Amino acid sequence: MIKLENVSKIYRSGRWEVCALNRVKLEMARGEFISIMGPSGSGKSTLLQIVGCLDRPSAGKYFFEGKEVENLSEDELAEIRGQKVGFVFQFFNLYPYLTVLRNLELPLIFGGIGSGKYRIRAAMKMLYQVGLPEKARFRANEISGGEQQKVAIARALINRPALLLADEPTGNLDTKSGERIMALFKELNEAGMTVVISTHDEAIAKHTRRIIHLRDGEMVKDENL
Amino acid sequence: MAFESVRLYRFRSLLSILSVAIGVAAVISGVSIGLGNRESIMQKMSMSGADILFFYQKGASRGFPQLEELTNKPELSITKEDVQFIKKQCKTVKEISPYLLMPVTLLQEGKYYTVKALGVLYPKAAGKISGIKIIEGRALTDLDITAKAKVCIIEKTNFSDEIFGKQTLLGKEILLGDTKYKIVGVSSKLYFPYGYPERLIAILPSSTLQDMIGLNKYTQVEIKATNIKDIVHTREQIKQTLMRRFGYPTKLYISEYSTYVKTALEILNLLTFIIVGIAVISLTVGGVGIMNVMMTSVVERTREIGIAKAVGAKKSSILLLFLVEANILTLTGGIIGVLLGLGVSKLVASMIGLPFVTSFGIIFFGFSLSLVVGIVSGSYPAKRAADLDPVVALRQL
Repeated sequence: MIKLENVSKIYRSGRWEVCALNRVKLEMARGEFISIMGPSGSGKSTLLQIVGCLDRPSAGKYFFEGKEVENLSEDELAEIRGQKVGFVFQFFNLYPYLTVLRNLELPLIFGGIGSGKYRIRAAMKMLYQVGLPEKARFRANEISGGEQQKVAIARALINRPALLLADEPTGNLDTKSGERIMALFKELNEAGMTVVISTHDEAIAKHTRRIIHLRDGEMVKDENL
Repeated sequence: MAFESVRLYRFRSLLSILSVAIGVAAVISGVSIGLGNRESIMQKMSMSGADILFFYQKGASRGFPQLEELTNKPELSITKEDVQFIKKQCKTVKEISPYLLMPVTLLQEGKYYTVKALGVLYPKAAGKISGIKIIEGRALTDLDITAKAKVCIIEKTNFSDEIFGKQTLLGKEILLGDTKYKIVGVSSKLYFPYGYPERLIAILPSSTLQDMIGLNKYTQVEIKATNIKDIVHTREQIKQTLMRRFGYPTKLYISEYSTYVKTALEILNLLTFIIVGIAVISLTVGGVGIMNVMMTSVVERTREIGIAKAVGAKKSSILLLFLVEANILTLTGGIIGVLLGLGVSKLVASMIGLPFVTSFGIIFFGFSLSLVVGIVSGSYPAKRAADLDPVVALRQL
């Protein structure tokens, strides 16, 4: 499903150059449950962003479902992000002044999918799935961190993506909430979804079935558990 | 979404709405008061006869032709057919009234006086153009004209008092030339834009007067234009028509009042233009305010834009979102501004006694202005937002 061929990413800021990823060669198959591990600054987020079509590689080739990303327009990338990829972030990234329900509707609104009624029904269904139906009318900043992350996952899932990417999903949560989120990911993976998370926490990584180790932008180890 | 963020940043939104509202209100009230002023001046001009034109064939004295000239030179005349032709040809002629103005003798208690007899063909039109106001008795009627009735209306002036004294005139018979006329009405002093000598005027049916002098002609024609604004155009049209019909322009005199009106209207237009100019400047200030609000909003919401992009928003969706937001602000400002502007101009109009002029056009103009301000001032920030790199936008805290 995903193939990276010697992908590098270089960030430039004035005269500074930072090599965030260095010639990464990697394949991910449908249905895998992968964690990307490494200390901060090792390139975990950059890798997820490239895999999720939020960013393009500076060098090398990246194929998403067989299509080379280099050749896709910005709108085509936006479409992939909307339809095939779900993102979950460390800081949840909900719109704090919108209700939980409205946050869930956003990908559908931006994707131009369904009527208002359909969107609300779809959003409610997702809320039931993550176990938060009673929070629908709350504003995003009125619920707890664990709940926010669940809402963020529900938002990532609403378009039924093939690939779920989570950048340090438990990094901002207490251990108990983190475990619950991981259980949810496991459930989703068992239902057939490809799930890729990044983390620096070994205990979290242990939940997955494959761990990719990154250090200074280079892949140092790829272990199957 | 756009509504929700406008609501979130209430105070800031309110301020920018206010700035647009003030701008639009200034435009609306400026235009409205300017137009009201214009209307009022036009009404005054039209009351003073500025919308009246007249023409005649010049006689030897360069004024109206005298009786002998009218008799001897058949080309020096205006006929009923000429009048009807002009009325048909010139669309902006509202009223037209031909006159036959002749000096006649009046014998009263053994003394002879020279007075002016004014033969009227269309009594109603003459009433409207020359302001013949009946203060006693009745006006002339079309029947008087067709029946060649020997009736007349006397203009009440100092001169009439001198001749007739204080006695009641109504129902009396007077001798004009060799014919006796019954006085059926008394008119207040006539108003003619070109003025008449302080002489008594007896208004008669033109048919009766024509019979008396044995000529089927008129000495001059007065015309009221449909609108004072059209007077320049009307005059030109009449001139062309007359030249086509008579073919000797040097003998033709057409009054020149229209040029004053033209100047006055030009000054008024300039005035309106200046007012609108000032208003547009204030609206621009409002627009810059909106742009500022939107720019701040883009910077503040960089992260939101990143999220939107991460969940699949295309450039165009972000562009639209910010444009809609800017237009919610300006259109709300526009609505408030239109209402405020109409209120202010109504207040000003009633305070200084101007007519209150408004129209769908003005209101539409106000709305379109605010829409334009919204689009213009919203598009740059919206473009900035749409062009944000999602990765950079997400990294921002």
